[in-house]
Amino acid sequence: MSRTWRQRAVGRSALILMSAVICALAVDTAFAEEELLGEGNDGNRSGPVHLIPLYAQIFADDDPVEIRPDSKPALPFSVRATCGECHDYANIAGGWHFNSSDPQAPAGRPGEPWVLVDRTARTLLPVSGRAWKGTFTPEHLGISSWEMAKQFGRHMPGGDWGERFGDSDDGLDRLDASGKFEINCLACHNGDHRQDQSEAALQGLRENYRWIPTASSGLGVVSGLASSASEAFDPLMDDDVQVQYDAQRFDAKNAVFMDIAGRPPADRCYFCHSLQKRDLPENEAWQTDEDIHLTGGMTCVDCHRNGDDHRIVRGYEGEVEAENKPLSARGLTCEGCHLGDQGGQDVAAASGRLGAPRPEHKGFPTIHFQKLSCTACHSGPWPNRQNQYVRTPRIHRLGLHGKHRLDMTLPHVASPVFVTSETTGKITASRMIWPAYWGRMGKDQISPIPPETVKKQAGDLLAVETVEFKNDWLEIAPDQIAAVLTALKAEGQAEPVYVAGGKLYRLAGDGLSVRTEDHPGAQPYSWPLAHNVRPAQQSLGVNGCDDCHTIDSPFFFGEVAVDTPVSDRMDTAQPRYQLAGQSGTYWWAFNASFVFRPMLKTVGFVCAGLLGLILLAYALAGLRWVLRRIQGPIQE
Amino acid sequence: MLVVMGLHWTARRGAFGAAAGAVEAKPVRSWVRLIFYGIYLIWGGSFIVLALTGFAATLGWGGPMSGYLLMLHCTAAPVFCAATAALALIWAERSRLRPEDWKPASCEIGWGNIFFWLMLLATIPLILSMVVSMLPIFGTEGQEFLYHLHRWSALALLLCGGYMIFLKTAFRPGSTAA
Repeated sequence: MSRTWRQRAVGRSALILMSAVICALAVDTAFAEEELLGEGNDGNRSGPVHLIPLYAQIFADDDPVEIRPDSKPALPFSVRATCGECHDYANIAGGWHFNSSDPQAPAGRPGEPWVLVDRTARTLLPVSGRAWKGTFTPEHLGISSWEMAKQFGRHMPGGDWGERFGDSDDGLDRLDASGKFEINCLACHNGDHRQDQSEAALQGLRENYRWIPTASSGLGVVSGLASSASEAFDPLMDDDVQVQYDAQRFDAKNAVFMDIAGRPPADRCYFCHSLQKRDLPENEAWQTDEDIHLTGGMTCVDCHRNGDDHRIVRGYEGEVEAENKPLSARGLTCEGCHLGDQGGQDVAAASGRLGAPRPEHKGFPTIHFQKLSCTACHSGPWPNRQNQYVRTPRIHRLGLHGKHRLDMTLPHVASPVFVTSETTGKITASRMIWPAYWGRMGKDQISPIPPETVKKQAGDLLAVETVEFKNDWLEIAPDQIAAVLTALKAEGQAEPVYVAGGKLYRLAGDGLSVRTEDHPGAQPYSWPLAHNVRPAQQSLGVNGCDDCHTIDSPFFFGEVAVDTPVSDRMDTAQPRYQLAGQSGTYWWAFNASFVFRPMLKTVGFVCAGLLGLILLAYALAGLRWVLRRIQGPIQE
Repeated sequence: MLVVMGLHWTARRGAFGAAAGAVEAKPVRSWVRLIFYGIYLIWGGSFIVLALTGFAATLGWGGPMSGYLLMLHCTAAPVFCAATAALALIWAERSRLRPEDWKPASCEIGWGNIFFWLMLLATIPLILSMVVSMLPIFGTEGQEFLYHLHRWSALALLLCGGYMIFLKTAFRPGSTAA
């Protein structure tokens, strides 16, 4: 009897246990289904083949529609809908390339800003949503997200300003026609050489944001302009903007092969992250070398890595703390790979990662490593006595090959300039621009006046027709500044001022002239440069101390021209030591002392030798005395 | 070290001198004496400058010197090297270690000589560690080693040199201590 009860109890327990296991498996499966196909890593290092259907999603509330080459009307494919099938779009949208408009995103080390240039208004403003010191946020300047995307979308991979709109932003009425400027994954990850970012920029200028991935990937040809379409334009009904897909790219199941590079090739990065030396004629660009890391066979993403969240490692000292990155990001800095945690247990933090040679720095006093960043000696152009300028894609619109090409010369980006970092305290190789803008004096900062407002209020005072270009600027005279400031004074309460060439211009007491003074808001904006890294044999110091420690060395005493449209300061320059916040007298005296260095070495060796001889002579005499004391009794 | 010197002087000033007259320097001409005093002055002056600038950096912020302090240190360094070499030439013979200097009543003379030789011994790595670091021979680790060697040699020199000066002045034959 009791046995039967026991058997039943065991049977029931087994049944309950099995039920629990089945439930757990069901729950686990349900959760597993929530993880998208492209998330995580199953451990296989070969890349998945992206033979996928394309989806269109004209409005956010619509269900994605699979695209067929013969669909009428042919709709542009949506990256959010297509890539979002397997990848977490929202997670990616928090990545470094897409979060500058997010006030919650960590700003990190100052970087290259967007630059708003208006020659007529004599304005040059560094703009960044990251609120780096010395830049102005779009909110400061009254620039809407729509305008940011319109102005600078040519070198944006989408997302960011193209998708984050405030309720009161300008341009919202155009969104139905243009579509949002979604993240274009293909801008970076398309391994197909047909990916054309110049075409993407052109589509952006036409406000064809919705059509950018289709047009730039070469999957279809896009014609028409959303910018000229009415606000009531409906892509499903109207044909102001048309798509014609390349039918051969679709297979029998309407899937398209996308040559997706999980690790984007350097060429994709180059579209936004290139550099052109201005002192080198364009047809002699072949003389320039690539970054030594790329020459050595590496690619950008070997160091600038990221996970699914696309929070790319920027690779600077202090990034882990500044941007709340994983500790392993520390191993991807210059020091991380080349010096590392020698002898440590953690292989990821050990030196020699990616084959990085350990630098010897023979003859370099270690104080150099406390006072200088690695890039000061190893990166950027070799410093010359005179000014050097560079152009970058994002600032000078490089890489646009069609009708939308512009040969921009402003702003003048000086490189290299050596600036003492506020975070590390080290002298760091940097690039620099000199802001120029009209503003209103606040309690302790200057609020810039948008160029359009200045032009409206100053009218003919900015006289463009009668002024000639000088140093790429429309010159402005101090009395002209005074006249514009007087006009601006009549339009606002706060005192109007003008900033240019590192100086603040205010109306003098007579109201007819200006007085200049220094002001923190007038300081040039600089950002550290990291590339191109030169080979070791082309680094500062390779020729000895004289590379820097002479009384006229370019490193300290080279000059950086003050970039300004103001006529009486156009030919001025500042020595590099001044921009680095160093004392010229000290560095002159210190460098001059290197003349005596050979003498110091000679005196040192001679004196040490003499002392050695004296010690040896008396040591031998002492030894002789000892030996006599020992041998004396023996002889006796 | 100053405390040790004070205690030493207090304890021994009465006992010292019973046989101190045994060691007497040969009389020298007055102009030669002037040169000697000049060398002592230069050596002492550069010694003080180097000690102050060097240890100010070490004790002040724990790091290597920089700025004008470094320039002052580097200016005094060759002067000190030359003065030390001259001092060695002048004092080597009279600082020979002799059995008679180790009598209980005059052992300070013997110790003074010992510290003299130790000071010279410390001076060699002190000079070489910096001079060699200026040549493209040693890498970063080597430079670190030379820098620390310089610091420890400087400390040894300071202790030996300081105590030698104390012994050779406070307990010299004919001094007030005797």
